[in-house]
Amino acid sequence: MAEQFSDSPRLTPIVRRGRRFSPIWIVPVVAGLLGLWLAWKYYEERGPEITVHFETAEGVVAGKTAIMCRSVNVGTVGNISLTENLKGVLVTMQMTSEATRLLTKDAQIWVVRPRYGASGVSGLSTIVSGSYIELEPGLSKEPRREFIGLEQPPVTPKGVPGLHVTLLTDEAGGIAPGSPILYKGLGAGKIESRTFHPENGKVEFNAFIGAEYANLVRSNTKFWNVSGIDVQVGANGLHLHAGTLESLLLGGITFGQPTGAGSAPAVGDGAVFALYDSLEDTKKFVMKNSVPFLLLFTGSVRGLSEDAPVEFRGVRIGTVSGVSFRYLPNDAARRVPVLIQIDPGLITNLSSDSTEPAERFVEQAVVGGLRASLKTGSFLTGQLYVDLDFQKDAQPATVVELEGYRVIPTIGSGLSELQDKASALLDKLQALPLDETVRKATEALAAIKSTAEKLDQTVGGYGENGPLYQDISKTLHQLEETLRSVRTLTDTLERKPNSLIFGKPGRVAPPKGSPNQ
Amino acid sequence: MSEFDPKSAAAHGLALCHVCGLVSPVREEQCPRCGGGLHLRRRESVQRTWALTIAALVLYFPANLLPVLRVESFAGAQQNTIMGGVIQFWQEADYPVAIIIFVASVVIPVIKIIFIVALCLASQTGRRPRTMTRLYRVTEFIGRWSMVDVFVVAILVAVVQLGSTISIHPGAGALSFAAVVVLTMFAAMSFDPRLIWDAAAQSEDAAAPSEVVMR
Repeated sequence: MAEQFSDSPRLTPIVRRGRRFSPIWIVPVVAGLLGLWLAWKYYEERGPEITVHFETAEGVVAGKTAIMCRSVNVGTVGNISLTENLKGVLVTMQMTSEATRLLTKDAQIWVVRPRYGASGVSGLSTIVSGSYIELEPGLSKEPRREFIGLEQPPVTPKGVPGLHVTLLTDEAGGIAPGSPILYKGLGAGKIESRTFHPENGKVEFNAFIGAEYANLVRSNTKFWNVSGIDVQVGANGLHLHAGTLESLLLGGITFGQPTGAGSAPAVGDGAVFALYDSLEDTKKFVMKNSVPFLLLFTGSVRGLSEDAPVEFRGVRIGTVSGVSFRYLPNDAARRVPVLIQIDPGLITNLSSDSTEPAERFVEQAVVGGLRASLKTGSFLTGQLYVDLDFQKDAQPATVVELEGYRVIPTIGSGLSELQDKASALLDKLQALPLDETVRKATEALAAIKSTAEKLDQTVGGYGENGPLYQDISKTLHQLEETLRSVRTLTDTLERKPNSLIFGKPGRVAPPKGSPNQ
Repeated sequence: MSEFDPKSAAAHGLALCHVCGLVSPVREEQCPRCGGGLHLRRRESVQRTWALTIAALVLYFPANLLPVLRVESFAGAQQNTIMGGVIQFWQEADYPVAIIIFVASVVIPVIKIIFIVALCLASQTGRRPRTMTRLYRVTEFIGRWSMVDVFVVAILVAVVQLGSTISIHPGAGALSFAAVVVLTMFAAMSFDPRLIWDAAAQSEDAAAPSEVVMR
């Protein structure tokens, strides 16, 4: 081959060594930086992964359903699986990094689907767009990665300032999540959730009260139901009271301070209140804590019902919780056992958490003469109540324990005492000589009558038509005439004292040209 | 001894113009016909190829891990990676489409990168020059087909813009993927296949004496 080029001058190639590093290496460096930046961005945006337990994954699509917080996307559903016990679904969600601080202990998560409820229609947009998952951040700072999803969206967002209180009642009474809470007829808050506790048969409501009304909720505030129409028939006629139309349809709760109650301390989140059926119910007696005591009455306790009041000098301190022989089955004297519950907080200012101080207080009081007795609360209905009071002449006694109950000694029941007194009175009445007394009284009355008649006759002569009256009248008339003539005489004498000698001037003509005329 | 085959034009100081293809003495430094620069071989060919291949390899990961498409509709936003799309098509029993996307978007870039790495190594060792030249031809040929994905994304983004109803945006993955394809194409372009033969000639030179001895 070399020979082919022999005719041309042999050329020596210029061999130039390339630069050791070509500037082309900038390309992989830039690519590497770009790759690192993308990877960093990816992991930066990639927030924590959370697991949420739902009852059903209806409308939730793996890899598609978004997690929103106030309409801002903060994550995507990653995986959906059934729980171990097949009672629910576990939804894992890949959150964005900015959502990290939203995932706190009291954050709430629920699926937004079209709903029709007490608070209206919600989630209509999800009919078209498909369900999404709403994350409501809480106020806590404590992070959390596993959540229990709510089946119903909370009525009030967590972040809204206000007060969350718990209301306990025996009957839901038409109150449902979304029902308004009114204060003097103004919407102060809403019921957020309703749960039934089978263990104590109570219905629990979680209520939210707006910030401007939160200060009105004090520890002595009463909540009562104002649902429906209140009809009262009384001495003043028919009273019909209805709340707002909203409370009529959705049920409603109102709250207020009991009349005459002083200012109580404000309450914090999570305070528990009783929910009363009506305003009247709020005035009824409610025990916060109770210590049981047994009373043994020798007489009949007819008229003493359960829930009858236990009073100390007229102030209610407890309730009769039961009247039954089963509390003391083997009592030879067949005394009637009455179980009462006393609220220790009402007799002492001791801590009502422990019953010990209250028991000791009662023991000391019994030594000091505290006795129980039955008294009639209403003579009309014969209702009895238990009265506790110090008896000065009481036999010395102490609190004994029978069948596990502390027994407060009693004195004769009010009714039996009354019966005794009544029969004694009747006996005395019977012993009185009533017939004779009545006869004598009749005679005396007859004598009085005849005397009165005689007196009447006697007095009759001095009447207007009597002769004495006529005589006196005539005499007085004459006397009046006499007095008039005497007066005329004195007048004349005053003017012309000489008339006594010359006679009356009218009798003679006065002289002519008299300067006096 | 020069690094070129004595039978080659380079050994005689003749260079091919990169632009017009005129063979002229490399001493001239500029093509007498078109004025282009004269080099015996493409400048810094192996270095450039390596650099571009490494860059492509680096960007291959974000290209496959990051979403290429973000579809925003009233039903919410949805992001898809290339493999996600392949899996989705496969699950929907659209096997041909799934295979096409998989081959064009995942297999071909990988094959290309592997081939180019093999070529670079061959340009230094000079082993199996014929096979390597075939590899080079294949690489040159398949290069442009990888752009299918990028074209699809570009067309979708341009066409489907219905405001709030539905709109499609390219993801970071699409850009990375386009970069991978472009970089591999540049890498293949910057590779000078003659280097394979140069290396092969050298290794033959080295091997020949031993062969003689063996005989």
